[in-house]
Amino acid sequence: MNSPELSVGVTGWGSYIPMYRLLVSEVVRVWGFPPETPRNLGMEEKAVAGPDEDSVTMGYEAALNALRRAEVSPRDIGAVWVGSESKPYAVKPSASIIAEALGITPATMATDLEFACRAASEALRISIGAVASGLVKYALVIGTDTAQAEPGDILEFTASSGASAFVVGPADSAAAVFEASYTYVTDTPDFWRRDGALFPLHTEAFTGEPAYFSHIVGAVKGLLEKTRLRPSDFDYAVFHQPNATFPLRVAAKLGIEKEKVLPGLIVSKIGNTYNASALTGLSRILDIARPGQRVLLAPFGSGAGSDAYSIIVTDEALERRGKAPTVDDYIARRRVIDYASYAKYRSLIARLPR
Amino acid sequence: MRWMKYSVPRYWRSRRNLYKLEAVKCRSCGRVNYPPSATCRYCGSRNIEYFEIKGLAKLITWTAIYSEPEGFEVFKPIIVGVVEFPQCGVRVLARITDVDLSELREGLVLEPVLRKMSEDGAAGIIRYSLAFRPKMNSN
Repeated sequence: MNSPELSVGVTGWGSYIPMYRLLVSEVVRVWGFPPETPRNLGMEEKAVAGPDEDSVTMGYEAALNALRRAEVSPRDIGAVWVGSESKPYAVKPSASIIAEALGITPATMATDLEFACRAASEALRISIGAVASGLVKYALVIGTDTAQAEPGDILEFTASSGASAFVVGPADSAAAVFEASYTYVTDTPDFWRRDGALFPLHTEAFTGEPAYFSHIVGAVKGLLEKTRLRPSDFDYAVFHQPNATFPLRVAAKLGIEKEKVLPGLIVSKIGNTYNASALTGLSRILDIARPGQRVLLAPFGSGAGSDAYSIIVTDEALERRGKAPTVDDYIARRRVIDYASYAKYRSLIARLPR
Repeated sequence: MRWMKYSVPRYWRSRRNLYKLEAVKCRSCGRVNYPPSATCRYCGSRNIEYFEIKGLAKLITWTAIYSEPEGFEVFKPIIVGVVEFPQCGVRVLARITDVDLSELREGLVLEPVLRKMSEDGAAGIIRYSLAFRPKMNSN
């Protein structure tokens, strides 16, 4: 069977990380956590969106960077798919605002997708189908989140803000080509936010074994069986990054060396950017990888599911790299704020309705 | 309509100018009109063409607004500046973001970014617009 992935690749990639940083020591100081709590998560600091930022503005800048690298006309984009669990509007698409601002409208599909942290990853798989079939020439996939955490919840050490975007198009001009993909989904209630609830709830230990680990392992094993590839065939592995320890543990379960995971593991510096988490890891790999190197990508979303991708970097990546700021450029642009400013920026301080 | 203090049609009509910086070049006298207008304000010609203003800008002057209009509360102090695009000479009045007042100086190199401009309460529309931030270091 001819696999649809082989004719499709990443034409351009781009990320965005807001400049503000909250040190984990601030969360320890304000909420009285034992200092080892963030250490056990491998966390140092997390990125915080400013008061004038949201999933739309961050997704826009990531997409602009992806378009700069792709060097395609906005008019050739036939779909804009935004994965987010922190949409500024509960009803009214973020995708149409971003598409309009980028000059992609009106001859385009545009929709927001929701599946906790992996909606944008599913959008990536959908875009492979759309491009391979010829339905669209290019699709723009955006993962963007200003992740919510209830003040005092352990999630506050990690839940952060950021975005990554990919222009998906024909393989012949791509910076990285898809080789195969596989999705593994079940009904597993490890993390959720009810309609109207301000903050999500999660099930502590349950988020690990039956959710994160079993779904990523399920997706990656499915991919390996389908492709007959072995873990040793990959030069890099990027997993969803809810903290800095889970990706290394899942790699160990799969027999993948730590050294292949570390280059894409950025959570300790920027936090868990939810829909942008694994995708920003991939973005960093595309910033640094050599042509011919093979990347394993496996995002995860609660509820629960994981997608595994095999991606091969091409010569085009070298050419396109310098056309937009890298993930490291954004990591280096940082300003530390205190908990009070964080609380204000993320609307955690009660005010009367206006 | 008690939740809607902003005019939605007005925002919708102006979105092209809020999301992108456009100016008009007069084909008759060659001068640049900003904000764009259908008639050249220098020679009165209607023979004009739109173009998108791209690239970096320089800070000319700025001020801080402490008595903010409704919907701008969380952005206070609101830093507003006049920025100039050297290539076309266009000067734009815009909000400056991702910066402290103490860091501003004449000639500071800025780049446009899309940001939230204001919110119509908790239930009304969110207005997005270009703002300017100090050019980030890259590569």
